Amino acid sequence: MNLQLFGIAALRSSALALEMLGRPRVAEYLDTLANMAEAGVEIDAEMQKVAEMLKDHSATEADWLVLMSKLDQASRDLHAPRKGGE
Amino acid sequence: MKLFRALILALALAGAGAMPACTGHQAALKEAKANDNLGDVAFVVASSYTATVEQAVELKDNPQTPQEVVDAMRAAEAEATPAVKDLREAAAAYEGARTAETQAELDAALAKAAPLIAKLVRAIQKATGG
Repeated sequence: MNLQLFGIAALRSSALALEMLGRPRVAEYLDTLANMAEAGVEIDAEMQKVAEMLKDHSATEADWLVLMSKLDQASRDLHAPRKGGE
Repeated sequence: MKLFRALILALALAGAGAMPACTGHQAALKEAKANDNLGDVAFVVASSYTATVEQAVELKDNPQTPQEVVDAMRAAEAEATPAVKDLREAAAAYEGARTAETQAELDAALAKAAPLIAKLVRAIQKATGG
């Protein structure tokens, strides 16, 4: 078993343990992370940046504003017509 | 802080450094733990969601992605984004006054957002053949 598969298995085990502890919603979040890893969702670099920021300081109002602005832009882009038409 | 404890427990169970594909998430959640701040956990969740929507945009513009998958990603995003914005509001209230009430509201907002985020990830899985 390679390290990535081990990591996915560990996340799924954690999710199962949390479900047994009565925290199914949090378990679902961890399961989601495992799904993202399996699906090859490439967000690791972004999350490393978040880790660096949190190492320096807790999230501020300004940090949230920047993040929500990125989310608004991504949301608009997702609903915009596809390049090459639909 | 039931949710926060649960996340920390999950991290401990998952084993630090064992997940190359998730090292960024692990590192971010570890810093949130170090800060002992539930608002930071919310920020990590909102950040990973935002990066996921950006990934969905890339997939949408890929001509190989079937239209029905694009439609599913859009529908999932339309449902999840308001919940993630509620998360921001709840985190702001929690930061403003760390009371049992604001903590419970943030806990509830996290619990509401998690399955909706999962829907978008499932849609992306279809696009990537995962």
